[in-house]
This record gives sequence, structure tokens and C-alpha cells, in this order.
Amino acid sequence: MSHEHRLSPPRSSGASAPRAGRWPLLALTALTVLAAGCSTPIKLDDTPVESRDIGGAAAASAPASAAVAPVRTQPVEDPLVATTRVLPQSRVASVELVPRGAGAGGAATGEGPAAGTAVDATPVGDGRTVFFDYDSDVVQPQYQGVVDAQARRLAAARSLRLTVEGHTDARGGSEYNLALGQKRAEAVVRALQLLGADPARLDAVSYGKERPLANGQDEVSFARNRRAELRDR
Amino acid sequence: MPEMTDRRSFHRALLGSALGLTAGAGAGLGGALWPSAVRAQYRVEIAGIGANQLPVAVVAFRGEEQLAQPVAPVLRADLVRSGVFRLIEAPGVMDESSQPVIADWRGRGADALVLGSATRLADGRIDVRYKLWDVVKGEDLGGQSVVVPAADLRLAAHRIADLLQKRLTGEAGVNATRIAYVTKGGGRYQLHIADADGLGDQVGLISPQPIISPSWSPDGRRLAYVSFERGKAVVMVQNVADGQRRSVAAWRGSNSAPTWSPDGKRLVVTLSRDGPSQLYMLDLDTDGVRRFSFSNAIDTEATFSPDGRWVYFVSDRSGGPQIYRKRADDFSAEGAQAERVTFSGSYNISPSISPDGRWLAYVNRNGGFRTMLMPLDGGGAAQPVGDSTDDESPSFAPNSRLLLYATRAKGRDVLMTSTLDGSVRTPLLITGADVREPAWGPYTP
Repeated sequence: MSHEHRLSPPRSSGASAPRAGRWPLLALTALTVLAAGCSTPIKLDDTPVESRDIGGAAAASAPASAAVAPVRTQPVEDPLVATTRVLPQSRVASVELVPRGAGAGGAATGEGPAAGTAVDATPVGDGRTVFFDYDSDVVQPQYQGVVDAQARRLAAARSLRLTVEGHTDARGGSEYNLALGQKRAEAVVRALQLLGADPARLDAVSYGKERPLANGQDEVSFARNRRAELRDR
Repeated sequence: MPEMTDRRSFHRALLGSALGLTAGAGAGLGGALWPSAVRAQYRVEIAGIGANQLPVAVVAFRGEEQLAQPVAPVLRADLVRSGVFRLIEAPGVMDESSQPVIADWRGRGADALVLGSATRLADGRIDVRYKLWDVVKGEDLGGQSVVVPAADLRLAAHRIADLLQKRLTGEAGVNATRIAYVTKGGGRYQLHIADADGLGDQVGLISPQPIISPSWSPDGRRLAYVSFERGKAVVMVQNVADGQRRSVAAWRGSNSAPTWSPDGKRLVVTLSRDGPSQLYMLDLDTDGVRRFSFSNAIDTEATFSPDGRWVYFVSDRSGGPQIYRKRADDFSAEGAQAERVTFSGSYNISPSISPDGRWLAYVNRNGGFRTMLMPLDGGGAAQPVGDSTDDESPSFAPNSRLLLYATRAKGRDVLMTSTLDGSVRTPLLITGADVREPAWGPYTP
């Protein structure tokens, strides 16, 4: 009687076949393998199992059923794979980032402090924020005053540098919104440059929809979040 | 209770493969729109939601009540979530050597029966055994023993579910695969790696700043993601097992949307260093970078086709964001080498290709945001998956049969798995925090 221990056949297209086991082989304890021409089941080594004919047993256990067809053993389409040694599950190492200057503990990566460290971004108030229409990166005329004021500040203090942070409202995917926020920040940077600001002192970054000012799912909240904030660096 | 089709077609389902298609009018999908799966001599007739699902009974495993983690409940949940099975009530407790009364199980409407046991060995490991019965034929289909440390009992159950699904349908299950996702809560962002059912999660990264766009390497050993820990978007690559991480893209402006080439050697990322957000290809061995897209618009959210020949991406070069594709070896700047792929609707983002190369999933905005599914062979129009209106980030299971995406339910961000036709949808139980940015990992050895 032949035992088939081959692995599951691989899928026909693209995807790779599931692995027989995550873990290297140890010892096999197969309960039963049906193979062509085999009419008796394989006994489990250490568990007492009555040797029996499957077809007969089935008939015996279902006396009220209709006639049971004789067992037709057939090649196992997907023979059972060998049980494998099981190693402990792959651990996931945990990395904790701690803001510089915070309490001891955690694994600070030393990558540098995060600008604007608070998760809930503190509103910087009028005069430092340009708001935008839906899907738009156009600096509207009513916010030109913000741009003018910051351009004057830059002209007055040669060491002053600004970071312009672009944001979007909560609707839509993270990545497209990150790009839209970047366009908003760069639109403000261009507006400042038009007023003579030195681009080397300006930085345009985006938080997309990840740092909302307002958490509601309403038009007022959405409008508050579509913004570019001008922060001193 | 869906009307049962005849036993013969159920039995074919037992041996054949099912693609969770439906021709039911209630699902709003035309049967002719979707090609049915034909695998060798196995063909399953689709009669409507639920009627093509294989009824299976899973009896409580003898001995599992002594363990911290019972096996049968995980097994049942896995089988249901696959969309291929529906559960038959299975009272009592049996084990793999029990002789079932087949007529009783036929009477309960089961086509397949799973019995088993879980026994603690002298060395503390657990020996989990199962036996599978073909109830229609009254035939013992064999079983297996899986020995695991106690901490891996959930994994053993997932493994058995995958073996059962393979044995009964010929299709690979994905219950022993993993997903990554991000939670936000208590002022912290956490990048989690969990079982495909959303449970058993471990935290790979905790940060006070946002984390988005996790992307699994093809070998499942690394995650690329976007971290705002430096005050702007930077692409990091982290080893899952030992936590080693490094930044691979930290240029001027935003660095984001990492996606792996199928050979695991390159990443396509979105950089704004030269002006508008554009696609660049990074070589992870040499750290070389080469610009890949050349428009004056936003180009982002790249993803490779599974054969590595194409890069699909989002571009708003025509006004609003649409999905395009470009040959992966085409770095030329002139002309419009990108082909547009989506044409209906004015806002289509977040493309994802099924590992078998047959389907494109993406999100369409039309009022709300809906996950859409489109066959890539040109055989039909895109159809919505489900009826939620706040969908993000669709991601395929490695067997191409299920989708994972983020959505909102009852005011909370949640994760959902769904069959491709949307007929079987299962929210993942992730409590306590808003959860987003899901990514389904690959098969791993």
C-alpha cells in the first residue's frame, strides 16, 4: 500500500502554494491516509483504533439509511501532509518611539525630535493658518493677509524659518490626502516666495488627514481641517 | 435559511472549488458578468447567496475545555469567514476516533463533519488531532495531528482550517496568514501584526506620531510603512522578527506610499522632493533611486502587478484621481506611457491587485467611498463590494478570494473581510481603538 506524502499541488497562477507547515519536520503521526487500492485504514501508532472497513462501518452505523454504495477508494486528491515540528510562533519585536525629553523607558530611536510633538495638534490660531476649499489647493484671496503677515515676519527676522504644514479633511484615502496636503503647503510656500521670501528658509510638509484639528464628521469640522499651518522652526 | 439545492451539486462543492460568486438578484450582480471558476473537472453551479456554501459541522474537540484556547470555535469562525462554508449546529463532544452516526448528520444537513481532540502532552505541548468525514458518502476522509506549544493553539486551529478548506474545496485557505493594521488611541499610534481573523495581535511599533500605509514584503519578513516620527512623512522598513528598522526615503517634503516589487528588491515610493508628488523606484540593495513617473500632477499609491510587469498607480493628471498603469521597466519621461484603467466616476484611488492577477480592487468616491472590484481581463465593469460608504485601503488575501478593507460602522473605524462578491462580510474584532490602514500579508513557510 502506498502512502502519498507529497505536498498540496501549487496553485496554477501567480500566488504561491501554501506551505506544508510553518515549521520544520519532526515526526509524522498521520491518522489515516487513503491511497489507491488500499482498503484498510492505517492504524495510529499510539491510539487504539479498531481496524475496520470504512464502507462496512458506515453501513453498520446507519441502519436506517438507504443502501450504502460499496466503498470506492480513490486516489487522494490532496493527500495529507506530514505533521511538522512546531516552533514557537514567530515573535513580533516591539519598538516604542518616545518623544525626546519624555520619561525614561521605551526604545527611543534617536532619529530626532518630532516637530509639533503633540498628537492632537494645538490650533495655532488665526494669522498662522490658511484654509482651503474642498479638493482645492488654491490660496483664496481672503487668506492673502496671512501670507502677507508671515512674509513681513520673514523679511524682518533674517534667522526666522518657517515650516508650512498642509492638512486635509478626514474624507478619502490617506495617501491621496497626503499628496493634497503637500500641494496645499507648497501653494502657500509659492505665495510667500512671490512676496520675496527666500525658499531656503521655507519647508513644505504634509500631514494629510492624520492630524485633524476637529474630529467631527460634519461640514464644520471638515472645513477646519482643510488648512495649511505656518509654524516657526 | 437559504433554500437548499440538490445534494449532487453540494457534493460537487465538496470536491470542487468554489469562487464565491452569486447570481442572486438580491446581490445586484448579473451572473453573466462574472466568469465562474472552472478547475479541471470541478465546476460549481451558483444558485444564490448561501446555497452554494458547503454545510459543515464542527463538533467541540474533546479536551479543549481544559485549555486556555479552545480549538473548535476558532475553526468554526475561520470556516465561516472564508465564505465557502456555512455552519451546521454540532452539539456534544466527540473525538477523532469516534464513529459518527452518519444518518444523523445527514439529517442535520451537514455535508462534512469535523471531529477532534486536544491533549496536553508530557512536555507541555498540545497534540491537536482532527478527523474529517464526508457525510454525503459516509466516508472517512482522514485526519491529522498537529502538535504545538500551548501559545500556538490559535495558530494550530488556523492551520487545520486551512487544511480542511484545501481538502474540501481544492482552494487554499488563508487562516494561518497575518495582517497588519494601525490603531489610534490614547494619544498613541500602534502598528499591529495579527492573525487573519484580527486576533492574537502583537505590536510592532508604538509611536506618538501617525503611522500609515503598511506594506508587507513578499516574504512576509519585513514591513515598509510611513512614519511621521520626524515631523513629516518618511518611509521606514522594519524587520518583523527583530524590530530592526531604517529609513529608506527621507527626502525634502513627503515620502510615502511604499510598495514592494514581487522579488522583494525594490520599492516604489511617492516623493515630493522635486515638486509635485511623483513615483520613484528605490533599489534596496544599492539605495539607488530613479524617478518613475513624469507628470505635473499627483502620482501616488503605486502597486505592482503580481507578475512584476506593471505598476498600477493613482494620478490626477486628468483632473481628478484615476487609476493608471505603466510598464515596470519603463522609466522614460516623454509622452504618456501610462494607460488609464478606471473610467467611471470622477475619483478612484487605492488600487490593489489580487495575487492571481485577475482582479483590481479600488475605492471610488461618489458621495461616499466604496470599495469596487473590476476584472482585469476586460470581462466586465467594476462592481461595488458591499454597501458601506466609508471604505479605505482594500487589500487581497493571498488566495485572492477575500478582501480586507477599513470602513466605519457605528461611528467607529473598523476592519472588514469580505468575499469578492460581498456576500459574506465579517468585521474583525479589534476593540478599544480606531483601526485603519489594513494590509494582508503573504503566505509564509
